[in-house]
Amino acid sequence: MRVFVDPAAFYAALVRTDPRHAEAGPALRALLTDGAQLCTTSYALHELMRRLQEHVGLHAVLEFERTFRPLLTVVWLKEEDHRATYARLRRRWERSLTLAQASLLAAMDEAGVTGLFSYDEQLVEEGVRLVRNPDEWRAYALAVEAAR
Amino acid sequence: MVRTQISFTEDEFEFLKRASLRDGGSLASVVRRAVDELRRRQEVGLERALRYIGAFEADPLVEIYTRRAGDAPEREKRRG
Repeated sequence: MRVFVDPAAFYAALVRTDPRHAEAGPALRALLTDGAQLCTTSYALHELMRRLQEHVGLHAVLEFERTFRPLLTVVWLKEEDHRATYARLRRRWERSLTLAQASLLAAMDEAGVTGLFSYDEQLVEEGVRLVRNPDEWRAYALAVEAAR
Repeated sequence: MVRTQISFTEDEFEFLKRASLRDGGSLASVVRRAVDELRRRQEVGLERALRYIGAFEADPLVEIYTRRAGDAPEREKRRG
């Protein structure tokens, strides 16, 4: 079962001092132990690694690359993907969407996936189903199974 | 045991034949060992990942800067 991951939610799961950690930690644990296929884009990956380096240090980036990167399916953006991502960002100028999030939305559309491990409520308006905790993940997985 | 049919590329098939001759087993036994090894690696990787959930702590000074300056730490703002 594929689920995309927002860099802020992933960061919150890894960093125990993040205000969202109490919810994000168990959510990521459930995703991993239930065998979810965690997907992201190269822009979102960059955003997460930048945030880890800025707030925690290079050691966190190195550990992330070693431990978590092999578990992620990454959509590597090409120039045409960047154009589509940028166009989406421009259309959503009134919202505080980031380039990384715009790339995730574009990749999710392409993959036909609606589930996103994220706490950003504004993405619901984009047709995203937020996966914020283990209950929401299991409900999402059941809904996808039922739709098959 | 479950019987199934699998296709391999020429290269993969040659590799399997060499491995089975070297080890004195069947092609199927080589494939089964490869599956066991893959499963073991994935389990080790998963256990390691679970240990790293919540393993990091943000630098409190960077957190203070971030709260003061929106999402941009102070030194990033100075960079322009």
